[in-house]
Amino acid sequence: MYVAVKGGEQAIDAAHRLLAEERRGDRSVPSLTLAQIAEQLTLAVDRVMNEGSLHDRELAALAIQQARGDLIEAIFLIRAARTTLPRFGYSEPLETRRMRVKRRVSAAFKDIPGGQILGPTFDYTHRLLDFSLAAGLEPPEAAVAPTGLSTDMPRVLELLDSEGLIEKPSQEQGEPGDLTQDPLSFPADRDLRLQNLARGDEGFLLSLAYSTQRGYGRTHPFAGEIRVGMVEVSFTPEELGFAIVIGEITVTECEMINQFKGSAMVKPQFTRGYGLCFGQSERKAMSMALVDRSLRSGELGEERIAPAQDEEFVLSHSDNVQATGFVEHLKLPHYVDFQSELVMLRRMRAEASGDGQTLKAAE
Amino acid sequence: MSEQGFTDAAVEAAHAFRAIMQAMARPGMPVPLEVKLQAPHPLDPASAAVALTLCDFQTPLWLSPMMATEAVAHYLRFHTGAPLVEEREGAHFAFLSASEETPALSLFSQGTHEYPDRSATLVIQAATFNTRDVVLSGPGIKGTTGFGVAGLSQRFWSAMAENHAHFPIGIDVIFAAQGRIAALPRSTRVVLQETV
Amino acid sequence: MNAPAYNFAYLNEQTKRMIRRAILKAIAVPGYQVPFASREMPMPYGWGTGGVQVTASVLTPDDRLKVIDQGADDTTNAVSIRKFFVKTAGVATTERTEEATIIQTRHRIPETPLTADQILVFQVPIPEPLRFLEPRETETRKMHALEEYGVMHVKLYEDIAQFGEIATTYAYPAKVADRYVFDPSPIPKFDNPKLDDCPALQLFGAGREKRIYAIPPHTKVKSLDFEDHPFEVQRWNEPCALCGSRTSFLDEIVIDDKGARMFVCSDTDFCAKQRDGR
Repeated sequence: MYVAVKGGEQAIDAAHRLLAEERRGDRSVPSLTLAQIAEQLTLAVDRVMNEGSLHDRELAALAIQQARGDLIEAIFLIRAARTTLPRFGYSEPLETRRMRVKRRVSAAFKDIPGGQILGPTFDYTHRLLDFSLAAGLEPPEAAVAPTGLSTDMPRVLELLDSEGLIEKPSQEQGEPGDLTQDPLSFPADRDLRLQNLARGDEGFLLSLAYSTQRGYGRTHPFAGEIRVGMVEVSFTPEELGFAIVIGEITVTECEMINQFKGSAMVKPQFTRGYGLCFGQSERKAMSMALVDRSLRSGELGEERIAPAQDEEFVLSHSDNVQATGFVEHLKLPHYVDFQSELVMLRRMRAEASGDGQTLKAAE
Repeated sequence: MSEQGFTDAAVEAAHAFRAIMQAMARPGMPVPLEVKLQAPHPLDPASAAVALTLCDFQTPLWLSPMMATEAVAHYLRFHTGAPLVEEREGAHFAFLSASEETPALSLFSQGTHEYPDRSATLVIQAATFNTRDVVLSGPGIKGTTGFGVAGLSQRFWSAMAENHAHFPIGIDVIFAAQGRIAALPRSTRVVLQETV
Repeated sequence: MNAPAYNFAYLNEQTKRMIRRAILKAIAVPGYQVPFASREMPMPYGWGTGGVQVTASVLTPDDRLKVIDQGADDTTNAVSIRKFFVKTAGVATTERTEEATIIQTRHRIPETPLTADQILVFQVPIPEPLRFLEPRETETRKMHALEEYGVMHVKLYEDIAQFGEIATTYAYPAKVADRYVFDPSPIPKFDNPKLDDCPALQLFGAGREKRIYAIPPHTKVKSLDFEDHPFEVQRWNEPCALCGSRTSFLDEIVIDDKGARMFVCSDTDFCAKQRDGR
């Protein structure tokens, strides 16, 4: 006699215990501390904060440890935690011009006011495995500027702007939208598009950005300026009525210079693409700037033909928490629907071969 | 001062919402709404419970001339955080009384054919319900049901019939009458009793 | 770092108010998909986050909750969601359909007829019935606004031309109150007739797609069909091997490696009730 499978609850509990065991790994190896993750896997922490949409290094480190290093899982943990947090309001806009810059490069000019600052970058490292790290050797101490550098460094794009060579930064009025408070609807304004991209999957944005370079909606980009450093975050409490500084965070900002032909009404000008993210996330900021520019094709009167220019396509598929959930939900049981398909398929085949078989057509 | 909001917000709001939802799902059927809060005159405690359950900083409110007392405005602002607006078309919720002339329903936000949900909800307080003014039919109603609200004129019910004629756009109404609520969404067909 | 204390039913009150407003508009416009600012939940998108947010927003401490997946209370995801509400809302649970005040479901409507005192909450993966015919939201929104459902009829008719019948077997589209074509979630079309004139309020939550829609009690729900190809449901030639029911939806169980099969009720509570003579 067949007995239906029971015991889902015990199975889940047992699976959770196994998962915890696997996460811990060999117990003779010391467990990681959150400080180790936050201090030594900094770029992983940055990514989790970016796509998790929550700036908290310690929580991000916890999420990375709990997720066994699966960053999308860690991002998911952070997003779920974010849901439970009370919302006090919105910060004042960040003033990135007043960034304490630790790295700043422009590919558009050889030298720029304030100088090119290489800073900590993988860019010119030879990608050779460093076995001294494996041997547990400490690196030689580097000289670090005590307070960072200038806090008033002109933007490269301002130089072009003063000559009228590039479009003005967008002058959209009013409060920016917030897609975590109001569901995204289409067409979406640039503020919401940028928010979506800032939360979007780095790999997805990277591939889309790459596709524009290969001709799927080409934008002729130049990296006008990429700067990384600390900026102050200010907040105006309702009861005070003036802004107070509540902290300082590291961000990466990318301003792209893109080509634009102009029109009968407007003299030819360069156009802009913009990217901003938490931490040092240059790949993300650059990809974001390229995709931002592609998504502006409508307002700039360009024909929309490539995936990166398609707002609905990009914004609806950029979120890796949504994407991974829906792809992986195929693991859930679907046997009712599958049974429906089986019944239909068998009947169609029976009808096609002219015999009744075991399943008759519905009345 | 004997004015207060919810004391156990999560649980009181949950019960109040279930009553409101049942009312909206069964047009014309009065549903008990037990409230412990104390609202300033002339705000009916059931109206106040609707406000505290559904309104916050995301929902601009409009108060009718009779409801727009300083005490009511202060109470709603304090307990919901909702902005009060002068213009009807910007309001997500409007609070009115059946004992005053109802403004033209078309002045409230009707939603659009693409987003019919972006329309106003009116909360009208009254003394009692009856089953004599109109006959209702449509989603939520098995067959037909008689309904009525003390104080509302034939003109109001004609306007509600007209409101349904524009479905899917239109406003929705929640009535509050001393510990009971009922609702009349735009999906409900309204026939005036005299013309049945 | 301390573990936080969660609000009743997990969601904060502002989120619940936002969802509650959406539910009321959904009830007022039956079958229309109301956009809502869906939150990230502690379970993945695609695993019932829409249903969970709707349930959390309608739940009171007095409720008795039943959760099913594929008709069964004991499937892992149903267990997981039920545990979530026990933990965050302290709510009573049941496996018996007739005892439940709220039933959250994935892919089935219980066989036991529902009553006016019950609320059925569906988990929805893709709420837009036109999505596979037109991927753009801007376009499908226009189609609903204009009540322009020609593409759907063309699709169903193409099925008939190719297969001799409508080949959609689950998530079968229907028209609500003679106005909106809607997706009843991936329930087998076997369950579609239960949607019509149902005494219970039916709520649909799609978390990832950020939509809520509703069918009020006693609302007309008509599955799409053609005069010469009327809507029909699946039937099995044999009864349930466990309870003998000839009226319920049956799952096929493979019982050996030679291809032997048996058929049993997908609704495990209904099957048990038949066997117990309840």
